[in-house]
Amino acid sequence: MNDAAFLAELAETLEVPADRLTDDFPLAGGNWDSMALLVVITAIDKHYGVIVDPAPLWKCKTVGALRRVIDETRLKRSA
Amino acid sequence: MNPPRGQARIVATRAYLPEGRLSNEELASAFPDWGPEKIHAKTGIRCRRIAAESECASDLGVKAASRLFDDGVCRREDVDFLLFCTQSPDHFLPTTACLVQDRLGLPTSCGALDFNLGCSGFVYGLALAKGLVETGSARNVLLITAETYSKYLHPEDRGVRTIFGDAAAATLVSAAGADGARLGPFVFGTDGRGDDKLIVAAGAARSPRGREVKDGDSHGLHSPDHLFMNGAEVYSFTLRAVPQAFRRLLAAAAIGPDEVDYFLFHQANKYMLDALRAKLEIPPERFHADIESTGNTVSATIPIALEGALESGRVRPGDLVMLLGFGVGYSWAGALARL
Repeated sequence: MNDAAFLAELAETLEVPADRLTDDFPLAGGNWDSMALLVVITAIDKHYGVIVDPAPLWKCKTVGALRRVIDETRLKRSA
Repeated sequence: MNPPRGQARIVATRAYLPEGRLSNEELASAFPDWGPEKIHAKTGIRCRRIAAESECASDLGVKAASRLFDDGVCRREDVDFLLFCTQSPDHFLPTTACLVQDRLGLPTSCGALDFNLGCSGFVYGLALAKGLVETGSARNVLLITAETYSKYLHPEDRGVRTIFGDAAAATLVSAAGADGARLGPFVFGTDGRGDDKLIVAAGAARSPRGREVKDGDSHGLHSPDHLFMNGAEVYSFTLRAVPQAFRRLLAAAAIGPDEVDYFLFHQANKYMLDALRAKLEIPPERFHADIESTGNTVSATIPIALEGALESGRVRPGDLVMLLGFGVGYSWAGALARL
């Protein structure tokens, strides 16, 4: 399942257990840095087949917001 | 009289790395929350070579070219065109290639010009050289790619200081002989919307120097007088543009990836190279990824990689290699070369 695989990579990057990555998990400071952004861009491309612009990703404050950006990008690309 | 026309080929390439070194240990002492091993894990780099304060792109280029002459690849008097690729020229004017012509003792009948490109510069340079050779305008083109980005880096910008190193490479492009060595086809790409994603904004005609340093945003320090890089945007561009160029180049040659013996992409950083290799499904043994002791040397990365691959036997005469440069501009170019 793409979502599970993507979240597993995100969890590894943020160095937290995957089951902690609920939609309201915060993305701020700590391991949410420029390198994490590259990992996320790569993971989204690998698991969802789209390359998301970094700017809206960087503005995401939660995992839920990240997932919404991914969904919006996928919708736009498939339109 | 112009020399007879013929197809072009890469004859040989030689690199020069300045003696100055910037290790991960030294960087870690300046940026304590990034240990040496973390820097290596993120970038694939352990050490960058840094030009001395008095050492410029022309100095590095002269030393690289001298290796070609000292190794008997060609004689100085046989070079009839010099292409000098740099984004850190010795002066705004005169053309750095003119200085290099004099210092190398090339004939005064030699053509010489600078062109300003970064990561795509080597492949663009090969295309220019091919044009000169195959139109009969030149017989032996010396292409020098030389860069001293270190002079543009702000001391507090750890992002770019961990990535970039200085170097030069000198490559001879001449008319092909009977051995089957060839150069081409090529593909090119440009997207100026990326202009501000990797830029030294001040110091040239558009913007004077002396503006205050603007403290960092999420993309690191942003000083108009220094190199600014939005790494995520450049990465995103790379993931989009490089696979397209890869496919266009194979289509232009009407071949599949399995017919390419070795892939030499611009050695930007290990993370980006690993991502590209995986995305393009290229086996690691046919994909060059090694900037551990040089860092990202901009337009010199591909010829440095080529020299290393030939020396180690990963690439041999007769092999078909794909060269693909991409980055600042945004600018990108790819070529196939039968060595």
